[in-house]
This record gives sequence, C-alpha cells and structure tokens, in this order.
Amino acid sequence: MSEQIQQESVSVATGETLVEVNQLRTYYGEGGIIESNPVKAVDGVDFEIKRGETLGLVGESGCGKTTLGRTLIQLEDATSGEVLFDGTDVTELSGTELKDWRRNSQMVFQDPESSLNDRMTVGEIIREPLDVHDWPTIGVVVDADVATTIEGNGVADARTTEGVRSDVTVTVRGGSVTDVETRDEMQLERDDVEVELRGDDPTTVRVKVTRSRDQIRRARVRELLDTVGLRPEHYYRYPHQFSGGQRQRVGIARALALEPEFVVLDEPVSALDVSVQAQILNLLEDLQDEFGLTYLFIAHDLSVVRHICDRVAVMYLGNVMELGETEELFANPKNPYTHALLSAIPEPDPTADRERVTLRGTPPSPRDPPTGCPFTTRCPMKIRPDKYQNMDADTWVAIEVFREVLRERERAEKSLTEQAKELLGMETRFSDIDEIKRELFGDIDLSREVEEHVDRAAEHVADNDEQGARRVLREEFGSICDDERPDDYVVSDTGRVSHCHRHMDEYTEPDEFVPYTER
Amino acid sequence: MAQRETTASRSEQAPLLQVENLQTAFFTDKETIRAVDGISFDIRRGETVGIVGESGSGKSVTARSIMGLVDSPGRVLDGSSIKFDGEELTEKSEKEYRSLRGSDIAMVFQDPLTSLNPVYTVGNQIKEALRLHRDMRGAEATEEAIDLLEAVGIPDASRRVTEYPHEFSGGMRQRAVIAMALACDPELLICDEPTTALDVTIQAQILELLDDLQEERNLAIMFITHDMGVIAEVSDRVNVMYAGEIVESAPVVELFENPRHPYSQGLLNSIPGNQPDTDRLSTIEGDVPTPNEPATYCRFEPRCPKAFDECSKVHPESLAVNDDAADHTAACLLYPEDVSQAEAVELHERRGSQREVSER
Repeated sequence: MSEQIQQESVSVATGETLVEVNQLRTYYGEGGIIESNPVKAVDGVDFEIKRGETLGLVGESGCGKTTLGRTLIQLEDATSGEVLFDGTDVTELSGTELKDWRRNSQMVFQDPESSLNDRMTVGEIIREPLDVHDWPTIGVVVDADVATTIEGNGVADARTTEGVRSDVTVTVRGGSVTDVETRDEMQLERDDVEVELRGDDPTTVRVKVTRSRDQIRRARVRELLDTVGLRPEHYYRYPHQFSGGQRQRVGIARALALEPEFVVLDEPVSALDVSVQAQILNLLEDLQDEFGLTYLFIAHDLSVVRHICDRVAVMYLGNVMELGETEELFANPKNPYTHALLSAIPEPDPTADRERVTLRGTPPSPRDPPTGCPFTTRCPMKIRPDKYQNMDADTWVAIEVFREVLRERERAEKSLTEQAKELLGMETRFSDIDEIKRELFGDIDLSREVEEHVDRAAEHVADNDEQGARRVLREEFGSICDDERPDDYVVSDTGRVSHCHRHMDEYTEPDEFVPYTER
Repeated sequence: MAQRETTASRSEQAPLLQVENLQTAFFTDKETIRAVDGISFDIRRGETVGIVGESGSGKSVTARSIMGLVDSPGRVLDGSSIKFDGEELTEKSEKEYRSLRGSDIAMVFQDPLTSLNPVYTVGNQIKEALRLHRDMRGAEATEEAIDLLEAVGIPDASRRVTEYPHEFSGGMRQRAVIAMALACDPELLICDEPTTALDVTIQAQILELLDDLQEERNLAIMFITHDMGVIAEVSDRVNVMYAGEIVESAPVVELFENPRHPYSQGLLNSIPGNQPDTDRLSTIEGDVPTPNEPATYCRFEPRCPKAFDECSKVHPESLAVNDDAADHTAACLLYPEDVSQAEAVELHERRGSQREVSER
C-alpha cells in the first residue's frame, strides 16, 4: 500500500540533481489595486531533474506546462516557491547574475516559423547569443610549480571565476611554459594563443589570443551548423529558404551556442511531419549524448514522450498529477488522469482493442480551479459519498453535468444588460433552469432524496443564486475529492508519485477500481 | 467505425462519391504546381475513407477540389471527373455548386476558430445555414439550432446558442462547426484535419461524436489527417498520398498490417512507439518534393530505400499488389509482386501510355 511522503524523500534515482523545484507557483494578472482573481497557471509544483536525464512534461493545452518551462529558465517570474539550479535559487537572481546564469539554460521553441527572425541570416541568428553574452570569455587554468596569477584581455581565471570552463590549460615548469592545450569548442589552435611569463612569486601568466573575437565566433557558428546537420554555406541564407525541419535545427543550434547544461524543449517537434519529426528526435538524442545535456521536454504527443524521456510528469490544471519513470508510467498508470490521457491516444494499429476512457467536458478555468483535487470535475473514479455508492451511472453523470453547467454559468461573463435584468428580477438567458433540468433528468427516475436536492438547487438558480445552488449540490453529492487537495503518494518502488485521494488506505486504489460507468 | 463493411458488400453498392483522375494545378509566374496529380478513389455511403500524407502532399487541395473551392491561380484541369451520386461536379457553375455545398456535401475544417465568424453568435451562424438551404427562419430555426447543438453533445444548448465563438472552448467550437455542417443533413462529410488543433482527450470526444453521427445518419465521411493513429481508428479504407499522388490504397487493417509501398512503410516506421525495442527512430531522409512538373518518374525515388534504375524513368501506376488483392493497390514498380520485376516495369509502362492516349 502506498504511504504518504515528505518532500525530501521524493528522489530515489541515482545521479546528481541539477534542477530542484519546490512548491513553485506562477500566477498571471495578480497584484492589481482591486482584489484580483489571478490565472493560476502553475499551482504548487515539486520535482527534480537529474543531470543528463530527460524529463518529459505532458498535459493538455492550458495545463501550464509551457509556463512551467518558461518559469524554470526565468522567462516568467515565479509568484512563489523556488527553483534551485546546483543549489542556487534562480528566482532570486537579477541583473548581471541572472544574465550570466542564462548561458546555462536555453530554450528551443515550438514553432520554428515564428521563433526565427526573418530578416537575419541563419548565421546571424545562431551568432546572436554569442554577441549578447560577449562570448568568448576564455577560461585559463595554469598548472604550475609556483604561485601564479593570470592576466590578459578577454581572459578569466577558470580556477576562481564561477561558470567559466577551462578552455586553455597552460603548464608551467621551472619558470618556463612547457605545454599549452586548448579545448575544441573554443575554436582555438595552439598557434592562436601566446603565453608570456613575468616576474616571480607570484608569476604573472599573460595569455594573449591572436585570433579576433569575430573570427572565433564565426568559426563557432560553422561548427554548430555542422553539429545540427546543416551545411556551412547555410550561414548566409535566410530562414524562409529552409524547410520546417531545417529551421528547427537552426533553433537547436542557437540554443546550444553558449554550451548550456540545461535545455527546455517546448514542443520541438509538434509542428513537424512524422518523418521529419523522427530526424529531429534522433538529433536531440545524439546531442544529449555528445554534450551531456539535461532536457526538459514539453510535449502533448505522448508517443514522442515515451520514446525520448527517462521520466515523465503529467500535468493537469497547474498541478503535477503523476511523476515517474516513463516505461512504468505508460505501462501501468496509477493516477486516474494519466489513465484517461493514455487511453485517449489513438494507436496506429486498427486491430487494437482497447478500453477507452473518454473524459467528459473540458478542464475548468485556471482562474477558478476546484478547491479540492484539480481533476475532480471530470474524474471517472471520483469518490462518492457513502449513501450514493450504488446510484446508477446515468443519474450520477446527470448530476455531475448539472454541477458543471452551473459552474460554467457562474464563469460566463454577463453583459451589462444581463446584469441589469438580473437585478430587476427579469428573465435572462441564464434563468431557464427548468429546461436544463428536463434535458438532464427527464429520462431518469430520481429517488426522492436526490430529487429534493436537485429541486432545491434549481430554486437557487431561479433566484439567480448560482453559488447557492452549487453549495447545495456540493454538500449533498460532494466528497473528499471536492473538499481537500490530495497529497502526493509514493506508488511504486522506483519512487513514482501520484496525486489522488484514492491512494489513501480507506479507498480502493485507482487501478483496482472499476469506474461506475462500466458496472 | 472501422471494418464495418466487408469487401464483398463494398463492391455491390454504387459509390456516393467517385473521383477519377483528379488533377488540380496552381499556375504561378514561376512554375506550375501540380498539387493533385491524377488521383482516383471512391467513397460509399456509411463508409469512412481516410486520406493520409505529410504536409504538402495535396490532401487539403483534394478536399477543396471536391467542394469546388479551388481559387485562382489554381484550377481543376480538364479530364478530371468528380461524380457525386451520379452527378458530374466539375462541369457545374458556381451557382449550382453553391446549392450543393453545405446541403449535400459539408466540410469541417482544421481550425474551428477560423471557420467561425467572431462577430456573430454561434446560433446565428447555424441559422444562416438553415435559412439558406432549408428556408427556416425565426423561432423555428432557433429551435432547430438548439437541437443541433444538443445533438453534438453541447450541454446547456439554449444558453450556448446565444453566445459568441470566443466564449466556447476549442473542443466545443469544433462541435459547433460539426453542428453547422450537419444543419442540412448532408450525405457526405469532408473532415479536413478536424482534430489536429485539439488535445487528445478532446480529440477522443470528437472522434466518438463523428462515429455516433455516422451511425445515426449513414454518413459517408472523407477524413483527412496526417496522424496515423487517428486514421487507424476512424477509417474503413485508407489512401496514402505523396506529392500529389495516391501511392497506396487499401482497407485499413491490410494497410497497417502489410504496407506495400516503401513510402507507407517508411511513414509507419517513423512513428515513435511503433518500434519500442530500437533506440533510434528510423527516418525517411530528405523532404517532400514540390510536384512542379508532370510525373514521368516515381516522385518518391530520391528518398526511397528500394529504388532501382527504372524508378527514375518509368512512372508507376496504381496497380493491384497481387492477383488476390483487388482492393489493395500501390503505385510502385515493385508491384504486382507475383510477376518478375521486368514484367512489372513493362506493365506500368503500358498502363501509363494507355492513360495518356485516353486523355488525349
């Protein structure tokens, strides 16, 4: 049986944590003078990403997956919570610190049509991050038998400056330079570096690079073009001369220009055809192996996620509903939402015979999420109050739809005339409750108890008191799912967590539970 | 939906829509683009025919040609034939077409937000169709509009009918568009990527809805998509398009179990998840070419792993893949598979010249 867990114990897999997200929230439209009702795009999310792994983030549109990705690399400001990169909380960074840190985390956008500037050549596009960050700052390491200091234009001491890699290694023995090594990615040959020694105790090592920055940057762009499978002559072409797949390669080259450790891939293949999609996925995998990248892969295409990701987080309405190892999660989903989402993917096999869970309706508005479990309004496995355990499926669905209609109505914007009509007690488009009642409950035999409550709710609606009506229905037909946010429960040996009340001991586990509609 | 009809009953029935040698070209200053280049297929009542292909393969132009919606500089070339219920459509005037569009053949487009007018209420837009084709007005039309919205599963329809498209969610909008398409009880529904802009859970709802509607109304559906998963689920028969041509046509199970054309094989292999044991996805190298000259060769040859010399010289015709499979055709010089390769090439050559003669 599953047990409730503390936040720290979520990590079980081996390897070092690169990104740690704690109770992250991103709200939009908050903090006006009048009390506002913000859009809760990301609403309290916890997870970790290990160095070198690919974490998938899936969910329907509007569930907050892109916002989460953008918040991680500080393209959006977090409302609360923390994002730790190697232990540093990046939500606190600003100014130069933030700019320096940005080299480390880059993004590849969904639509290569709109994320590349049409008026720049491909070379300029890929070079832009290099120019912005005044690349390169050449990091020098001196391996010497005496104390040394390092000096030079555009040169930094890699031993003391954070975030600078050792690009040039100088070996000093007995007062003279015995060896100079350069790193390939820097586009420097041995001959491009001049090293001079001055004075002693400490000896000053003067490093001079004879190649201009411009030359180095151009060489770097050519190398990047080659890395992503484009040709050097593409440097001078414009984005419109490329196909969708090639444009996405340009976007990837730009993201890799500053040698980031972490890349957020926001639906990188959604706009591409299947055969091209496969090429880009292969490329991304190759690059990860080559440069040891860590990916956050955002997608709504679950078969792509299954192919490329090590672990997957399933999001719904700003919450992570389930998080675990990919294969395990796909083969045996524990959370009711994951289960429904997976069953909705059409399989490219006409003979496949699967039980599909078709969810009713659409996700609620993130401005007004349910107070309890975010999935409660559509969940086919929602916990019912004890006395309605044996109610037949049609009646239950009718009641759920009734509640949904009322919620939708409260959300619908009312025009001025409608508000005036409402005040005067006149008939508005919202008031014909009898018709809805007939439509929903017309063919169903309601027990007296149920009917009484439905009628009471209807009376509230007739008085233009939708909130009252919702309260009546919630008190009678609601359960823990409506009232309390579920905790995260560990549901497998590999540390998979799922966000559902059914993992509590007193209820049937979601994967053992037969939905009422199938009884 | 799939496999409801067996092959035997299929051939007995007269087709509702019969497309024969359809050619649609766009004439630009620079070049002539043969977006649809001599395709033939048919659709019967109650049947769903899928058309699948990558972007630029001519799927949507096919649909628009049938609907008579090809605008200048494009035009349906002479020698093309589209028969709907025995009537030839290519000869119709714009006015005659207009009475047919919407009432006998209706279309559902990819993006519901662009096919709905933002300044009219959803009810108004459904009523417009009712007024034009069924001469219904006023309260009667409103009643009918509400019934239609209920039929496509929109709750609280009497309120929804007075709302504007922006007040609907994506899936809801697509339902409204389907309601509009059904307003005049069409016999053929053309769905051009109807679920591509939607999430999987909503896609599942829309596919289920189309399935129910088809059963209720004995609709013929032409379903265009690039998603092999969706095609497998909805269609009875599949046509695979590549660069303006149908390269393979087969019943759905047959196509997925035993794809014959190298392009279909490549397409199925590149779907992630179809090859769970391999680390790398197999790909089709290169991009879809633009069909800007008459095909005297195989357009897939530059990307084809099985290409041989004749492929660049002889244009493959759609032929049965072997003697036993009359309803499985492929346009590839490797077929028919029960004769030698030289014979097959000759057969394709002969067929090609016959077609040219008949076209003259």
